[in-house]
Amino acid sequence: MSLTRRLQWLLAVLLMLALAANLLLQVQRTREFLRVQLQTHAQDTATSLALSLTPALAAKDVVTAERMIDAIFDRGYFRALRWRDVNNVVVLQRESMAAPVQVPAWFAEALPIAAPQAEALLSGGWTQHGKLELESHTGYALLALWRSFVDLLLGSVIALVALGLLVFVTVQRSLSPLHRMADAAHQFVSRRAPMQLPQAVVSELQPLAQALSQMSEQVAAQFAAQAAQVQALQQQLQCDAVTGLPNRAALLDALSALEQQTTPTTVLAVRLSNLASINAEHGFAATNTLLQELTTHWRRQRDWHWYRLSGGDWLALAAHASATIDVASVTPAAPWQSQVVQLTLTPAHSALEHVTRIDAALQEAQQRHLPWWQVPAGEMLSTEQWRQTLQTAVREQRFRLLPAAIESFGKRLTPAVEWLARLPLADGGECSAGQLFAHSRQLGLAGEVEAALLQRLHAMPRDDHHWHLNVSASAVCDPAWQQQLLQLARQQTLSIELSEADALSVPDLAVRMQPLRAAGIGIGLDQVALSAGLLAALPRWRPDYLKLGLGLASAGPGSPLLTQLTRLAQALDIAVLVPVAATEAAAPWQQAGVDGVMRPPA
Amino acid sequence: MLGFAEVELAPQLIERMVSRYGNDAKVRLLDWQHLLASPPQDVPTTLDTVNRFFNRIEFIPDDEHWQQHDYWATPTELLASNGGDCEDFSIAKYMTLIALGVPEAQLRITYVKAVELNQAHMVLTWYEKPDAEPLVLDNLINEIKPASQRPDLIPVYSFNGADLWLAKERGNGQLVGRSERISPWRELLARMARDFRKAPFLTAPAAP
Repeated sequence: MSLTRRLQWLLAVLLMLALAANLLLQVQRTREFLRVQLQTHAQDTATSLALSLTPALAAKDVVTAERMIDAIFDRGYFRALRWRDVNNVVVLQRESMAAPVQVPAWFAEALPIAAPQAEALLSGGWTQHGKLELESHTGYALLALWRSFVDLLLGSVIALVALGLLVFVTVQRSLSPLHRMADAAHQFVSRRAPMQLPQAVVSELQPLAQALSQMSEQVAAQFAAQAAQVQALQQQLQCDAVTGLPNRAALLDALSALEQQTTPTTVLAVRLSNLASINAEHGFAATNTLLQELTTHWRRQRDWHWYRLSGGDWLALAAHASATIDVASVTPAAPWQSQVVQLTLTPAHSALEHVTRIDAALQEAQQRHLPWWQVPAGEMLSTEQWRQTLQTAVREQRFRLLPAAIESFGKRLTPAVEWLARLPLADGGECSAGQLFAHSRQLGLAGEVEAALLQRLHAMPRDDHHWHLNVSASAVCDPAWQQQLLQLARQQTLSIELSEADALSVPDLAVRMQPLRAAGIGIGLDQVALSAGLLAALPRWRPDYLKLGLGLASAGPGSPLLTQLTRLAQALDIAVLVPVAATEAAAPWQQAGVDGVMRPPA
Repeated sequence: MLGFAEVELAPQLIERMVSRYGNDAKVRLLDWQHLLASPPQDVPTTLDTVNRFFNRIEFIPDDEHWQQHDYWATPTELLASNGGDCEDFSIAKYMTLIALGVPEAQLRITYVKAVELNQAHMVLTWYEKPDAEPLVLDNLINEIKPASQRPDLIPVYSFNGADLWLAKERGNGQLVGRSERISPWRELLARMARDFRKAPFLTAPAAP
């Protein structure tokens, strides 16, 4: 039973007892008052009648005396009246029925009024004529007591109802701040809302509100400190120590992000083929200086983002589609010997495929001693072809959903199946979910594609697994799509996940998520690369899990950044999930504090 | 034959009365105590002795004597102050006779009208038998006469002691029950309890 109910019941019972006691006392007081009044009335009547009889008794006029007695007795207020002479012999006696009228028998038995008796001396002149005994009739008094009792009872019932309502409302209102605080805490813990404590609380609850508020602030402060450490580690681990450029791990994240694009991206890869000999000739320190100078030169080119992949391998991603290529300025000057390769990366491939292709191109250029080589681009579907492909896929439900197993190491993460959307293409290849979302968004078909994917999921048989679904930010912001998802959530436990970049693109994501949270739908973030703004947004979003991107995952289970990130996530009760290869051992990840791994579809 | 009354005045009472009314008060009080302790006598003699004993006291109306309207004085106050009205005389005689063993059932306090004075008056009456003609103990005359020989008095109504107190209290507008529950009567008894170490009239009258 809730505290509110307990208090309401307790106060109601106390109220009832108080009113019952008051009723009893009032009735007893009325009863005593009536008894005294009866006694007084009897005594006064006896005395008055005795005084009135004096002339008749002095004249020995018994008939007149009798009539005077009858006149008083017949008023009906007395049960018995006796005239006894000086020898105590009854001269005259009158009696009437003593049964009270209109009064329930149980009441007369429970609260009887003793009939008071009074007597007065009878005299006529100096001669005594005995005494007059009078016994009151309690019927009228009992009737008055009964009516008083009924009135008091009705009044008490009305008062009880009114006070009961007052107690109900007062308790409800008094405890409402506590309920609001508990609700706020519950909402916070269940990730449905940020901690929002009520402003106006009663003084008794103020310490609790302050404590909760302080606790919330401390958690936020601890989180901020840990987030700063994570950012620093990320800076260290995803940054080349010599040149200050982002390294291979950072490149993997960047290449993963390309998947969300619909247009090809130009890449320049540079290999310093004489790095080892320069090192041997000038020493490491001088070589590092040369490398830093080279980096400074490249950084001046605003159209390109440079990465150092390994010792002598470098890569530049075009910052935008119209980035110009100046071969002379890209090619390292003496003493460097290099191969520069220009590639075009299409979004149809994954980041790892891109890296493999870049490595192969550099290798080939080095073997062929080509200082500059522009690798021919593969064929791509035109925009119109993509439109037709997607419309056909939506119309004919050509989408496939591949299950990827998610293994859990603890309670924070539920074992699940992630459904990966794929669209078979005419050339035999497949379009990934990221590509689908990117092209559909570009073509204005996002709503149709995501609705079709959701319909495809609806058509699948329900099971005991927890489902993970990849969704786009635009879908999350679409009320119609949300309704479809909520309908599915009533039949199947599931979580939706957005890419980190997508999530950061929605300013009020937490608000958008609230209806889904309320329906018990989990929220996850995919391709987590710790982009700017993510750590600040995490306390607001409080997703159920973070699925690391290739950049973070490639650092391996022993990475201090991963350790710090898992610690940070644990502070917010967020699971960390790592994508691993099909045959990769899970134990090292589990020891690193990760909550689960996702394996690719079979 | 009536016996000795077990009445003994408290020393503090005598001292208080002496300080208030002078040494004569002490003499009168001791005389009364002596009267109460006198050897047994028959009822008529006792009635006469008591009547004469109190009739020596001066009649003074309450307004003049006590500066109160209708003040009921105790026998000791009547004796010590050497003054009182007809009610005080009747009460003092009534209590003294009870103390000396006269049955309460034979005594009545009677409201009368003094015809010659055309005044409300009160006397004590003694009935040898319930239906007998009573003897009248009056502070106006020392001689105790049968009622038939008192044409100057017109009887109005008689009470026994308890009824008298009851009636008087009701006149003050209070709700009352039996006489032992009347607060002035109890107050009077309490005052008298301070005045006497022991006295039979301190016990409430038997229920009628």
